[in-house]
Amino acid sequence: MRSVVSATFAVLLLAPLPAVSGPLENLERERAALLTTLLDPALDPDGRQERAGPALRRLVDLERIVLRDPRAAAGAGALANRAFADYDLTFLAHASVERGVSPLDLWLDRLGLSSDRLLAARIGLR
Amino acid sequence: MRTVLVILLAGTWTTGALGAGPADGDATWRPAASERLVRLPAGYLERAIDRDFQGSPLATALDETGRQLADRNAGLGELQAAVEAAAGDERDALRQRFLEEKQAYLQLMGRRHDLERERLKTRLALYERLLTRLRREGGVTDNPAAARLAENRQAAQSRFEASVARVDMALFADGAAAESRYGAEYRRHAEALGELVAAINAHPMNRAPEIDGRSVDKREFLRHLAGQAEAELALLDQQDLVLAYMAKLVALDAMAMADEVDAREAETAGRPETRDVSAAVGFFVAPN
Repeated sequence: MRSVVSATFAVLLLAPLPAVSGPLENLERERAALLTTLLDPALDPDGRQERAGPALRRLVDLERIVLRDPRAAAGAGALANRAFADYDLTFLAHASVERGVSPLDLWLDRLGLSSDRLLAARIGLR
Repeated sequence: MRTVLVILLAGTWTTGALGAGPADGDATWRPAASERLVRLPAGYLERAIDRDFQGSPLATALDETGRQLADRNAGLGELQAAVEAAAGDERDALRQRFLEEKQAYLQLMGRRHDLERERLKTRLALYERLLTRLRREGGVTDNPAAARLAENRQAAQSRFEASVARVDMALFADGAAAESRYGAEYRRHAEALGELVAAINAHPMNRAPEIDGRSVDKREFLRHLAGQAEAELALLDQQDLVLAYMAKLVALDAMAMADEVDAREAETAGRPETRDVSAAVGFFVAPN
């Protein structure tokens, strides 16, 4: 019995602590989930719309939390620097409404993946 | 009488460095540049520091010295009047006492200067520590990466504020999508916060301090206070010089009085001094 208790303690001590995520990390995760939904080829348009709507509103909330809370940027280091350096990519929901395009179009555009450029692309070795 | 005057003279001469010695070890003031002090509104900062000083042994010692000086000042005036009215031996005795009182006054004033200097130096050091803490805590401008982040964040917030109404219209206006719990709660809290912030900004204790009729921030106000303390220290140095000259005058007075007493004693002894040898010529030229 004693050895079982010791082993349990050892496992508890060695187990990694749960990662504490801040508003910025939550925002990144939610945005990734939304983009995954929007790019999921297994979903039909209705199903995609049904899942993307609530995700977009959650993303709006998270973006507002990050923008309004001064602590969201404090202590986040490189992540905060990168996030606030590109408003369009970080605050995708707000920026897409502001620009009058869908979040996916804006994201692809910011990554340089426009339809014209994709059509002009050729397969080849680099 | 002469011995007393010589001792007095020596005492006054050796106090040439009046006010240059350190203040008493027990009369101290050790304020801390605490978090509380840093967070206080700038307008209240000086008062809080004054209050802290008033509770210190240094303030008690300064008050006590001030009281003693006032008493001695009054005594000096009375003695001076008495010297002018007296004559003869009584006048000499009163003059000697007057000199002794002046010497004691100068020593007391020197001690007061020491204590005052201690107060000003401590105050100056406190202002400098507070400024260092403020610079460290709000030191965004010293760090280029932090400054860039603050700038980007400011730009992002401005852009967000400009577009928030349009986003609300686009996402929540059709009624199909209800506003989230966060959005509703935030709006309610924001109103309460706005009222509280307005009340705090309008509070008299939170009013920004002014220099020459111009509102200044905490850092500038602290720099101004440090400058004032520096100026007071410079004036104190000048007062020390005044004190040193006073001490020199007391010493010269004591020397003059010692000479005067000597001369009078020689006169009253009734032995004329023979200095001119020609006065004795008659003893030698007459035949024996």
